[in-house]
Amino acid sequence: MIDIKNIYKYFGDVHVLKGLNFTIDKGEVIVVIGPSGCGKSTFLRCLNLLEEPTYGEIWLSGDLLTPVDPYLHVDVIKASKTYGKMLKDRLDSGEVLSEELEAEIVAIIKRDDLLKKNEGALYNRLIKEIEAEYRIDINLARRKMGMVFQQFNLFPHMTVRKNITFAPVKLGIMSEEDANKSAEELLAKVGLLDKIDEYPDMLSGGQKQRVAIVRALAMKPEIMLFDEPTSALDPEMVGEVLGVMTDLAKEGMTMVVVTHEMGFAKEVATKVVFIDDGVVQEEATPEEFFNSPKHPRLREFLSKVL
Amino acid sequence: MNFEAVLKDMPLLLNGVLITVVIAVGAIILGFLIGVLCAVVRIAPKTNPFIKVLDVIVRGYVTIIRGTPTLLQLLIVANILLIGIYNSSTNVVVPIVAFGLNSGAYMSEIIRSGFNSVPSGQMEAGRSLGLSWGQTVKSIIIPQAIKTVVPTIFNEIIVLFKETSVVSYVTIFMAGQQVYDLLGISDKRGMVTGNYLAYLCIAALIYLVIVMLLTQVQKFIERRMSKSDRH
Ligand SMILES: Nc1ncnc2c1ncn2[C@@H]1O[C@H](COP(=O)(O)OP(=O)(O)O)[C@@H](O)[C@H]1O
Ligand SMILES: [Mg+2]
Repeated sequence: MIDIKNIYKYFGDVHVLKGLNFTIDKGEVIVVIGPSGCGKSTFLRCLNLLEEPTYGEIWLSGDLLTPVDPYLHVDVIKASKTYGKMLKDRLDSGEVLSEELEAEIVAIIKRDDLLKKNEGALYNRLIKEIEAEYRIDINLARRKMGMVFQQFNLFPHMTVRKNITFAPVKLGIMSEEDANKSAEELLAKVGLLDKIDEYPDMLSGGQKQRVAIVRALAMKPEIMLFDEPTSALDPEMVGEVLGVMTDLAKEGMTMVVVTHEMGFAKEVATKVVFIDDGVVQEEATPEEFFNSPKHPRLREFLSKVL
Repeated sequence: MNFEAVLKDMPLLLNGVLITVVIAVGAIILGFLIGVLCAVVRIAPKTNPFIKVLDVIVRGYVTIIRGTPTLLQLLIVANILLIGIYNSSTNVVVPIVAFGLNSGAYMSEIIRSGFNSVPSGQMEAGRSLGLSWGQTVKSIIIPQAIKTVVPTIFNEIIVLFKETSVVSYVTIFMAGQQVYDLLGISDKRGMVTGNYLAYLCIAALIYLVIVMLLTQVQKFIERRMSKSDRH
């Protein structure tokens, strides 16, 4: 469902993600853990392009969300002037054209990051063709990806009802009437129907986060992204939010959850992922992940948090 | 000082008040529009070259306006508009344009700081729902930013309102084009009648009353907005 291909993310000199690859299938509940500052939020925010990856591509159900990364397309590399020049030099020096030679040059270009801004008309045309065929508007893609933030980020100037119905109505996905009905149903499910006409600052943290989840669900997303949804909550409110998330997982929602709640990871995740040093260091089922962690950094991390 | 004589002259003074108000209102509207546009340019993500160019222009504009005297700006606009293009006897266009341009720079900074006072999570929440940047700015950011900028905008309006009192002295140099606002007409009638100080005191009183009215409007709006905070 989501393909993350060789994502790099640089903030100036800070290299947060360094060639991260990952695939998320429909119905999976992925829990992402890792030390603070390792890039979990950056990873999650790259999925819906709240952060634009410096290199790499994100694919959602066959649609390309990022610009084309030429290094991921051999035919694009081969259309570049740089490739043409390197090939000509090699042939001029007496080598014979072969698939091995071609592959070697492509590998060198990838390894040494040799592509430049202007690589000629053919190269540009190929990139345009790929984008024309696969790339979709990010605003359309984001409708399919709900996001829940650590700080809730409810709209303080709107009632709970308006928070939930505003985007679907504004974007023409639902009529006001349908959006209202859907908001009521979803709120009833998370036990907050009586708060529908309140403003967010009348709600507790746990209630705010449940409303934020409902707001994202109201768009009928295919996947839900959670960035430490319980980290800003008082301990007694963590359970109610995790409960809603567990129900959602049981209903088959595809989810990516960054969290420090190891209990949730053990019981609800289909796969647990450890990010460190800018890449996925380990991914496994919860049993394997917690019972026989392989990566030394993960072992060290788990010994601290468990 | 003969205040009674001044009161008999009231129709002329009220005409001056009207001109002052027309200039102030026109300049405030123009300044606010310029301010909003410039502030939006300043906070827009600098993704395409067009926005980048606009951003440079806006920054230059704000720097120039903030770095030069208002009176000088008024003289320059008067020279360009009066001598170059415009020709009419009660010429309020010059001060409206000059004060509008002046105020636009200050308003843009005020509005920009209002935008920046809205937590970045609000933009992210809007965008993550699939709203465009423009939709999020309009429906999520601006309504929240307005609350923080109203007091400062009103201060700017009051300053601008009082600053308009220089127009008659500026336009005096433009033969036949002098604009008689409240202070201008009071000054002139005071001179002619030899009752100068009385005219000035009455003018001061009228300015004061209008500023106090504005302050009341400001308080009213702030009260209403803080009410919607306490739901
Ligand atoms: N907008 C940004 N500008 C500069 N540095 C950033 C930005 N966002 C994150 N970083 C840096 O990237 C690193 C990873 O951050 P983050 O993804 O938030 O980590 P995590 O969520 O795992 O704690 C941190 O070192 C952080 O300082
Ligand atoms: Mg984080």
